[in-house]
Amino acid sequence: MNGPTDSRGDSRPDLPPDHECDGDRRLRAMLAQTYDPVLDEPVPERLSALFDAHAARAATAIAPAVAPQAAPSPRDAAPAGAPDIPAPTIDLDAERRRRRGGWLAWGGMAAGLALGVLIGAKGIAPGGELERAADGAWVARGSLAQALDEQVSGVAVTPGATRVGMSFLSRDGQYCRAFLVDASASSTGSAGLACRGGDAWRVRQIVAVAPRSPSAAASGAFRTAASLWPQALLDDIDDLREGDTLSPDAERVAISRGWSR
Amino acid sequence: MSILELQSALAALLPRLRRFARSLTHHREDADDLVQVAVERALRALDQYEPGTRLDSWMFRIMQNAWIDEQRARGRRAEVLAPEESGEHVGVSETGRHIARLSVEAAMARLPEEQRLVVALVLVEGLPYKDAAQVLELPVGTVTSRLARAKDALQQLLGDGDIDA
Repeated sequence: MNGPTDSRGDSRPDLPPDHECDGDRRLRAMLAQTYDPVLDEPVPERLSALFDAHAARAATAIAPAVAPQAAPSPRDAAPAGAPDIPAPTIDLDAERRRRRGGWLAWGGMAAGLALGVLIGAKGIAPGGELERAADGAWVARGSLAQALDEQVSGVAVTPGATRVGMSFLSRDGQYCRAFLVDASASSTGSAGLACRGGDAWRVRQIVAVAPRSPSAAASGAFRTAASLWPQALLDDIDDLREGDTLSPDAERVAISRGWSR
Repeated sequence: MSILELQSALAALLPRLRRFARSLTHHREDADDLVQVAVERALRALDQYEPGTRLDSWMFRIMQNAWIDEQRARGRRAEVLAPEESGEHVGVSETGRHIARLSVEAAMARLPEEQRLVVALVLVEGLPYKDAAQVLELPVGTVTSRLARAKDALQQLLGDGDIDA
């Protein structure tokens, strides 16, 4: 950008004040008084969310086709009335092997995005599933918090519900959990990583994930674990985790203790 | 400038885009609809932005095109509802400043579309004449003459209203 504009865009170099008559100056003042207050209004979320949607579409556009592989079996019983949907667990080593050279482009971009950029990702809404803490961090609320609090990784859930993919202990001793939201539908979903801090789940990262392919959607097949987790999130997990992922039994113990250590 | 930096710069322009839109149509929702359409178009065409050129001018160009397209689509080109109705809702406790704003909106609404665009770009958004001319794809002289006519019309419509009331 060039042009000597200030933060309000007021350059107006073509009409030096000395050359303006009183009527011109008065007219400018009236226009400023009328329209400048718009600058101080909060920008509606539907406008700021356009950038989130664009990022999500970009992710969708460059996502690879769904890998046709067998789905893992649920490790826990599905909730009553829930269809038999294999849950997306993460095998980190298998993921790394599979993805090298695959989603790296998207993963690198996603890693560079602040959480706020993608905060409007599908199924995640400030005021609903996310809330700003006093220190500025995003913490999980609502159905997201409930899933992180209570769900064992890999359980089958209803389509579109939040699903937890794995849990682990971070290098600084926090419990962390990776999750998926609304990623079983034919639209873009979200994947994220949250770590326990105080009595809340602090969300470190949320990235968009591509919908399942049209052929998979038509067949009713659910995307398998390997197709879902963005590289950026997996890299974050690699950087954070100390040791192996928690077993379902270890998760149940942590759940019973409210994820406190 | 990377795509992410460009998106960030665009996001930072949102308040000004909303002000520009509000000077074209005083209806808040219509104005934000216009911003939305323009931003969506811009995001689809980020690769067409030429680094080193004014991003605000590029966006205003997209917005004015979107505005014209919208008006054509609605079959009401140059029709902007004058805000007399708004004035009816102003209670006696409203400040003179508020009334002055409504007067300006009413005067802007009465301008021909081509003049309102020039006023919005030059007097509201502060673009130099040459940049406004590029946005509107007009010779600078045409912009100058349209602005002169617009200022005369506005001053006539607004009379001696007290802006500091």
